[in-house]
Amino acid sequence: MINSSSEPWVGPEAEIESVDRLRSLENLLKLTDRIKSLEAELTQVSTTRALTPTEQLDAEQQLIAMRASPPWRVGRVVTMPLRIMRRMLRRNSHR
Amino acid sequence: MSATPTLTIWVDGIGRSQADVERVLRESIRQAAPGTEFVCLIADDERYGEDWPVDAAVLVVPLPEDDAASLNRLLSQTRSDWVVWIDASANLAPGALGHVETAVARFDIDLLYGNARLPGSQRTHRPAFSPIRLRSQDYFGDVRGFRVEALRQSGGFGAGNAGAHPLDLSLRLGADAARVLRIPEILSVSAMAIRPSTEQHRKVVAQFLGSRGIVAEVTVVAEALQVTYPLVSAPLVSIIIPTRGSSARIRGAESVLVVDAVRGILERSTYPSLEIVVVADDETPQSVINALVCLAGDSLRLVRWSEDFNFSAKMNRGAIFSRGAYLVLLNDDVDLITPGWIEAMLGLAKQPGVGLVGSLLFFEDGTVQHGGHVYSASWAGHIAFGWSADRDDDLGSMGVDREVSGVTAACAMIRADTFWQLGGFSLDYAGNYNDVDLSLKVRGSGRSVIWTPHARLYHYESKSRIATVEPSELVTLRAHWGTWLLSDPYWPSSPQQP
Repeated sequence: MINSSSEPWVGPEAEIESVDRLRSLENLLKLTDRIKSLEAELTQVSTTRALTPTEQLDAEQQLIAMRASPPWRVGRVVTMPLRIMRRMLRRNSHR
Repeated sequence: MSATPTLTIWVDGIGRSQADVERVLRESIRQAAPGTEFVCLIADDERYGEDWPVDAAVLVVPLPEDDAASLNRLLSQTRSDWVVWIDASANLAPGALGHVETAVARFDIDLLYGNARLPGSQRTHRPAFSPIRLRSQDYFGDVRGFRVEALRQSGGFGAGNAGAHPLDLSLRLGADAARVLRIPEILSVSAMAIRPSTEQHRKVVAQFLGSRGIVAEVTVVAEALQVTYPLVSAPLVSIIIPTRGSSARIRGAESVLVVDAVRGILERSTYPSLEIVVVADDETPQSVINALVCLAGDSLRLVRWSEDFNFSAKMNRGAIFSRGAYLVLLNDDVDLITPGWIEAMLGLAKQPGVGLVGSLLFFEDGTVQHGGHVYSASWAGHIAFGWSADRDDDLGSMGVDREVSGVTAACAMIRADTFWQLGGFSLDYAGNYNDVDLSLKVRGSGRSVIWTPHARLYHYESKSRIATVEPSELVTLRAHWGTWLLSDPYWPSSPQQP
């Protein structure tokens, strides 16, 4: 049930020094968040993020599970001729 | 760390049958590398007769009731690098010691544990190291490893802790979380995923917390421990509620959601120092504003929102007007169940390293809406979504405080200074995933996110919200946090795992 009248509510609003002060604090949050987001994105592409031992083993398990999955196996079969051809081309170029 | 660390296998046979002990020892001897030491711990009044057939090399040690001195003597005598402690009520899984040997040779760690195979071929999926959870239950299972040098440095076995040494040592060696390893493989074949907590467990947790200057009361409740953190002071807590003054039918009666939420908080919360920060859209009915002013009086801070809908921006504005040292982020369509919800969340939020605390939320029909977030396969969802209130997993996860990947902002507590340090809610997420992003920012800053079942509320979500996900929000979330969303360390029941 939303007020259908166009008049905004009136009441004892919490006060702040000025609208500028409000905007400045909102911007502070926004800019800090931007920095945190960029840091997060950087971590995604960084190779230096140190994984804990538990994370390393988890990642290895996921790789093993992926390589054992039907889509991966089907993909390997489908790309087999290409891989054989590439190997032959490499062998020939080395002769 | 030597290149090939050596193991000593300690089979805990106290209170177990000779047949159980023999079974575990035989399997250990079969799996162990040459040079492994074997110790069998039995009760003082237990005597294994001449028919003890396992192996002459096994050292059988009868332990008195207070066994710390004997265990410390054994610890000082061992030449091995690691103690592998096995509860004789379980059995070693095939290849378990191989997994342990590989792990301790590869990683510089002090403590390890792994998964178990249960009856019916079910397997446990133990979470990554969760120090807050460990205070509520010894979830490590029947096989765990301790680095001998770390054990010695930590003071060894504590007097009076018979029956709870593994938990005691795990709490102490887990002080450095980065040196604890959860092996994803199955290490034991066990009758149950987790053993019920006992008075001895209660005692070692209380002792551990006391030794760290943490004021806490620990009680045995059902099969776990409940840790409450009595508050020595009552800092002001600001509850931020964004609203547009909507109404809905709840249990057959018309409810003005924000008014009923605030009434419930003020009438039933036991916490003495609260302020309610309501961020109200311009179109909020005047009658709702009047009711809030009448209800909350001086505890109310009314904040106007005249701009387009953006949940994150509304919450941020609420935070700007908040004066509390702690913020509760709260939807307007909630109703509290546990009067001590603030105390439960605040006690956890004050723990060192904790950044964000969430609660147990129920739908109107009593089924679970939120048991923490789970992030897996590039998606975010709720743990236990739709479960009946009495359902649990094999680790008893629904009854204990525990680390989670994230929590919903429908009800969560964060320190105000942490909120500011992290930039609050990201405006990139106007309607969805703002809580996922905030949770990941908390974890990215090195803090943990904790969920507690001791703060319980109804969340009438389906009554007030049509979940429409903007594709751009999901794209942004994956760009920021892609690798954090692949698999969940704290709810690891991934279907890919065998």
